[in-house]
Amino acid sequence: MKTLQVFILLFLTSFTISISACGFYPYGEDIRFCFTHPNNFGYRSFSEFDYSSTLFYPNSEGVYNDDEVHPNDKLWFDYCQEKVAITEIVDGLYRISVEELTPKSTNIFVQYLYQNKDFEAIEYLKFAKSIEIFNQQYEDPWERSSEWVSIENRSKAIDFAVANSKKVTSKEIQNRYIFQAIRLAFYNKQFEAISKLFDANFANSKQKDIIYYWSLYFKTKVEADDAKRSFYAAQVFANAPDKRFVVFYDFSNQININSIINFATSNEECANVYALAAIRKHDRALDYIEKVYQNKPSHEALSFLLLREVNKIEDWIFTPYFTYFEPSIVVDSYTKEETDFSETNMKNRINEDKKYAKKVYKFSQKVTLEKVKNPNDWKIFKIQLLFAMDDFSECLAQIHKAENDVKTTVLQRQQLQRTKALCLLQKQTSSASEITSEIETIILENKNNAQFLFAAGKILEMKKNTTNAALLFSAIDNNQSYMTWKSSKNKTQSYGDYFTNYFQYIDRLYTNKDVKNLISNIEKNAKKTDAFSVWKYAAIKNDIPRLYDLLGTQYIRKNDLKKALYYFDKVDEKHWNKTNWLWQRRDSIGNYFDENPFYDLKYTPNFIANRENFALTKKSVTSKLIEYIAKADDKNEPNRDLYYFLVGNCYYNMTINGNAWMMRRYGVSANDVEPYPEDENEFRNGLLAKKYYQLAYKNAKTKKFKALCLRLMGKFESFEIFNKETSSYKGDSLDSYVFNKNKIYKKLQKNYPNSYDDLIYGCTAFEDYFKARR
Amino acid sequence: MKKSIVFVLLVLVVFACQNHKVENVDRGFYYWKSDSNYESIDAEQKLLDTLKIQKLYVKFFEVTVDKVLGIIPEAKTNLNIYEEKKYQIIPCIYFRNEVFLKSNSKQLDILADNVTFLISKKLKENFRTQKITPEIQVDCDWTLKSKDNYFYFLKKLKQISNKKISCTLRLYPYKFPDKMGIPPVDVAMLMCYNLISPFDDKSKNSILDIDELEKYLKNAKPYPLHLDIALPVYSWMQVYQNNHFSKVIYNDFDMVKSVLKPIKPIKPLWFEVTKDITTNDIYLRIGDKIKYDEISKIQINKAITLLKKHILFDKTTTISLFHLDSEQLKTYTNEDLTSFYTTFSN
Repeated sequence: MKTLQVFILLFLTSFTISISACGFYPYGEDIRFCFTHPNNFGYRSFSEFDYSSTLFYPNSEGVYNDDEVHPNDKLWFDYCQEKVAITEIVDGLYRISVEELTPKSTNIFVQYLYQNKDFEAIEYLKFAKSIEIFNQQYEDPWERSSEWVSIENRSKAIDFAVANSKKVTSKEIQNRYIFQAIRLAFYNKQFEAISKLFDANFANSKQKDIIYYWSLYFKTKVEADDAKRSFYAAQVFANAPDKRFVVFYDFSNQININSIINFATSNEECANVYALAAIRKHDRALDYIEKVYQNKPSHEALSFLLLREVNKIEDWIFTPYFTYFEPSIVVDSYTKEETDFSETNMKNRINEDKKYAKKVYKFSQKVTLEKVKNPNDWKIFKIQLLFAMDDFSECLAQIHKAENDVKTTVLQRQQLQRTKALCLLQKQTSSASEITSEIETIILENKNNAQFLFAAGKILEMKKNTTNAALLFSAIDNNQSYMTWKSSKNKTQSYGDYFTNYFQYIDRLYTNKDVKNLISNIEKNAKKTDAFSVWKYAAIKNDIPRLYDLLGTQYIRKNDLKKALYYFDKVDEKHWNKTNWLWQRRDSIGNYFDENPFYDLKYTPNFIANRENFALTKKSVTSKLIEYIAKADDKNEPNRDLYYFLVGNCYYNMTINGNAWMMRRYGVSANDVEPYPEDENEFRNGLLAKKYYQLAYKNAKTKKFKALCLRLMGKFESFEIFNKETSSYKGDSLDSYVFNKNKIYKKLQKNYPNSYDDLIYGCTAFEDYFKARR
Repeated sequence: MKKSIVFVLLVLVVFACQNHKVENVDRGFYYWKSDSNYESIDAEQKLLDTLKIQKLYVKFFEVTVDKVLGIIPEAKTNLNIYEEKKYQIIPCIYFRNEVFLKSNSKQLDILADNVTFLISKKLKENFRTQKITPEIQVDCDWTLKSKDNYFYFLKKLKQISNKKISCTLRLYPYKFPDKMGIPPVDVAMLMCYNLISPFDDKSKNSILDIDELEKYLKNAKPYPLHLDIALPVYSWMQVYQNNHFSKVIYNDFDMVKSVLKPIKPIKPLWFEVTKDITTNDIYLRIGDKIKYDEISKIQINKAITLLKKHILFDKTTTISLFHLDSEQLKTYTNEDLTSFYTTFSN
């Protein structure tokens, strides 16, 4: 008795598992759409600020190209009157030790300095190398403070640098000593000294080289005034590429930009401020980009800023357009969970973002390409903007021009090809959507690009060419590329609301007509030997049994049992045994899914003794269901009540609460709050089970059997009440509420008072009541 | 006259068999590992319980000179050890001698303050439930050149920490206090091991050579400080490959011993590898030489006899074993280890 009460409670509470349980959910860079990949362009010194949903992080490969001369090396090169090779200077500066700075050194740079008796430079280099160890923060080894500590020896080094700066005759070496003193002062927490040294030595500098900006960097770090600090940061950011990452957050995006601009004394300084302000923005930055152009058309960051804007637009438009995920940069995922999905809202936002794409395009049209750096990149960015704006004809025309431009790189050409294929697909009408031979070639060349294949598939799907869409989606699986997406039919966010492979998707979204067309296409074309067909059908050609299984399952969902059986009949028998995850046989762990759905109820002891045994497959269950319904409907059948009861059991088991849910689904999860197939109501509430138990009740000959039928009808009455009211119920115990609201249980209590306790609370009662059928 | 002769003879007999017992032995152990191994913790904990250890001398950190940061602590021990309530934890700090060679009084004042602070911090972080530890032990092999600074530091540490200060005492300064000075501390722990540099005399056990020990103890003046005693309960193997020293092995002795044969007859501590074997991250090859400085129960008992003979102990004296390492202690039974304490009272 008690055991059954516990069972009922467990059974009812199993519905209340929260959808907010922790688990993997794709987000950020996993879902972001990007056609204009920064790697296709050459903005390495800005690469740390590529548009991304993740935090910025330093480029581990550095911010300079391998063949690029670093500014400091160039200064020394000039210092040596261009007589020493850069490679020797680099060796002398960074590779040889202080002990090797002798007249006997084999390094040409060191030799040059000694030959020219430039002892000031040599002594400086010795000093610089000897104090390298101080140029970092050290934690307090005595653990008195969590902050970094000042060091006595470093203080001495600062004094030494300042003293030497006054002794040397070369202005350049003097500046270098001051820079070293400033840097040491920073790590020694002598912040006031930084400003004093900078102001005394660099404030009126006309020649602003890398030493100046490196020194300004430390001044920026200790500047208390937000606007001034932001201004310094912008100048350092523009002129010292290796300091960009570390100075980025010293620029405040919380204060009025005009208060920063006030410090600028030239158009270039203004442009620097607007450039960093633009990079600090995750939303629309066109206004600042235009200002950069107005102040300095040749600004180094300008082309990169346009690339960032294109990447933003691609994320804002294409991520939701193709995958139904929100753009990768989302404000608050928690509030999103509680907000119902609105396709209209999403489309409205996409339309707004397309209008913004037009604005950006319009600006790029106004720009005089001769004045900007990287003019060829601008042509490609404009093409991508045209694609985002849905101006496919002009996009194709511009691609044609760019393809023939010798300045277009291989990577850029490949990108344009992909855009071309998508444009061509977009231009097709729904009635004539196809993968032309030109598109086939591009697809084959980009068969490992999951986003591109998926986008092509989605465009085909939007053009009603669901067959080719599914074929492309299946080919993504074949390439083992990672792609996740959602569908417009999903209304509430859950941990299982997205797809990772084509089969999940067509299971939920494709009609039986779509699936039939797909099967027919595969059966007709899978043996073709052209390269595209071989690739396209490589994976899916082995899925024919699975697809027939799906088709039969779709008809089960429609309760069209004959058609379901017709398609299950086409499934290769091996499929039922092979797909053990779908129809599991009992194993050592003890699965539930091998129970005969006509005779065994989940969590309920066996109560039907005489049973018909047969091998369980979707086909055999469907066949038996047809047979039992026919017997039950036969007025001459003496055991009609029994067959209705068995049919009720089978439909019961085909719900989410039964042993044979795989008749309708390919997986169930408590978190899977909103699957889309048309029989969702039936799957959750078991309306057919209730119907057939009712028919069994009507045809029952004994009171006890009638009571048993009522008991099982009541179970589904409870499910229905629970599913209807669970989200809105505010009281303490939903289970008690549901139980008390169950009219069928009340009827059971009223009409069969002697059976009520047995059936509601009894553990072995079902068997007694079933035996009493006759 | 006869009576006088009998008395003199009696006195001679008594002196000849002089045996200074310790009335109350406080049982101690040193814990000198930088990090505790979870696998050994249980065994070591059990051993401490079985031996009824009262004092655990724990190395908290070492102090050295860093070319950037100056005098700093290093090799900080992960103090996540054992159930500290059962015994008194005595923080031990090892100082490299160079600390006192390159410092001035101002730096030593700061050092004493830093050391006191860090010990206090570590005690609070790791031994919160324990009663306030009344002692700090300083470990340093001071030299004539560092003596003044070292002794200055010890005084300063006492002043700042306001705790009982003990220090380790090697046999050389014990024997020659006039030359090496008497450290200004409350208690000295006489370290009866590491008597010989391993490379100076390769024919003797560098950890404990009884003859060498006796040389230091014999005829030494009574030391003007309370003396506690530290005895070694560890062994090591020095590996020589191509007659060059290459590594010291601290464990897996049984495995190594299985491939050794004694080099006869002139080298009692020396062995030769007879089979290629990999152990302790070292590849031992046939023909490699190993000097096995093993400390047996017999040697320790001999050392105890000598100590009792030559040192007049105070009524209560701490006897501490170096060091707590279940792997090393496998050599001894619990009875052996217990006897190392009790023999001082017999």
